[in-house]
Amino acid sequence: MAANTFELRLTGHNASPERLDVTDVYAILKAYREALLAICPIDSNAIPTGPAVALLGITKGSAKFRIHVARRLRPAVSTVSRAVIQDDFDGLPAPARRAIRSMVSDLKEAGQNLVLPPYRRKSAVLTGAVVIEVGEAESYSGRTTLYGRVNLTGGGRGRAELILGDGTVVRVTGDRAIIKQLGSNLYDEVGIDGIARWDANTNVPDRIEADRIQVFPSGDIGHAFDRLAEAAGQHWDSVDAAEYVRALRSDDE
Amino acid sequence: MIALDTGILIYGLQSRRASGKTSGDAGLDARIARASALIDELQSAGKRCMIPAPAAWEYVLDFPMEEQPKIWTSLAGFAIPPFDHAAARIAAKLARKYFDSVVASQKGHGKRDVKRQGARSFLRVDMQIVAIAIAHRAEKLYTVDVDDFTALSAGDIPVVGLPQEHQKTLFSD
Repeated sequence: MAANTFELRLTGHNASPERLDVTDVYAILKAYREALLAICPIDSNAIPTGPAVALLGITKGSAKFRIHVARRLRPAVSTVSRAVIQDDFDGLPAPARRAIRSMVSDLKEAGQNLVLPPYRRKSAVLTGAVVIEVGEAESYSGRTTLYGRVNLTGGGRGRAELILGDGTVVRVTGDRAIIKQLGSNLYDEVGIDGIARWDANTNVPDRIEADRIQVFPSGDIGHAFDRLAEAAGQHWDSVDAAEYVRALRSDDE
Repeated sequence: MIALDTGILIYGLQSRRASGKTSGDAGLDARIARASALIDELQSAGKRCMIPAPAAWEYVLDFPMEEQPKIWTSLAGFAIPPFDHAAARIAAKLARKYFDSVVASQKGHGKRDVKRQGARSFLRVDMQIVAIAIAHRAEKLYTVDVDDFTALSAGDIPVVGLPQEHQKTLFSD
């Protein structure tokens, strides 16, 4: 059984504290947390003693992260390490496989490895070479426009996330010009046209390959309604909208 | 982001034109005043709104064709999410749930009634609007047709009507 407190260590290219970008570290730790919670689902709010996964500190002079997990997550720590050692991820829940695959993708891109807690004294090292099948039936893709707030643009490799209305985080990929444009709209609400990927079980998007950014005109929601009112002129004066909609949606002649 | 149905959009813009004027219809004036209260709350909370594409279509189709480009442009301050792959999947699931509940409440009538329900225009448009709001992760869906939308949404998104004029319920502490 894994201990509640352990270390995760990045090794390889630029794996020293002064060379690491916070967005890259955040992505790795966040995905690791997602994997643990997918294996042992718990309500974070139900843990009175602190977060389900806490970052206790970074060991001075190295890329070692001291992590503390809630007791109920300890089996998940072992499960992830065992899967990495055995190179067998098939038995993990799909969200956990997706989270680990995301880590693998990030590690591959950075030329780094992630040393996990050992399992039965065997060293567990996640590398960019690992192949994890998530299965086509568990996600689907399609063209759409997603709307949300731009977050975490930039960093070492130019990344962006879109935070949707309910807090869902969607990773945004795209060419350099798109990422640059998102950077200039950091924290703004935008629309992103592109090919999105959704979880087939939850219908929640987790990624979009962007090919166009829609920027809203300046002004708040009051201004948006003012523009609408100005363009409509007298068209809707004295119209009861409820009646209008009812008539449109009724099948009566 | 908050999703708005067609009726709320129209009451909202009427409230920006009203500025103290009355329509002569006390009920309509009250609904417009309540829409004004809603916009005030959204404004103070810094919220942006989405108009699901079928609702935007319902709004624009009433204008003469030559005016429609200008009307579409005036919608630029709103997100207009499409009925996409995710929305289609969600709509199919919600429609099935809704049909099953209709069958359960109308024992003996069975599939014929389901088909009749499915053919109704209100169901097709309402279902698309609800599904788009869910697929695009809206916090809430505002509509003048709370009962129908609540039944269709199966609890997957909060469905709410216009607030009372002086009621601060949306984002107030």
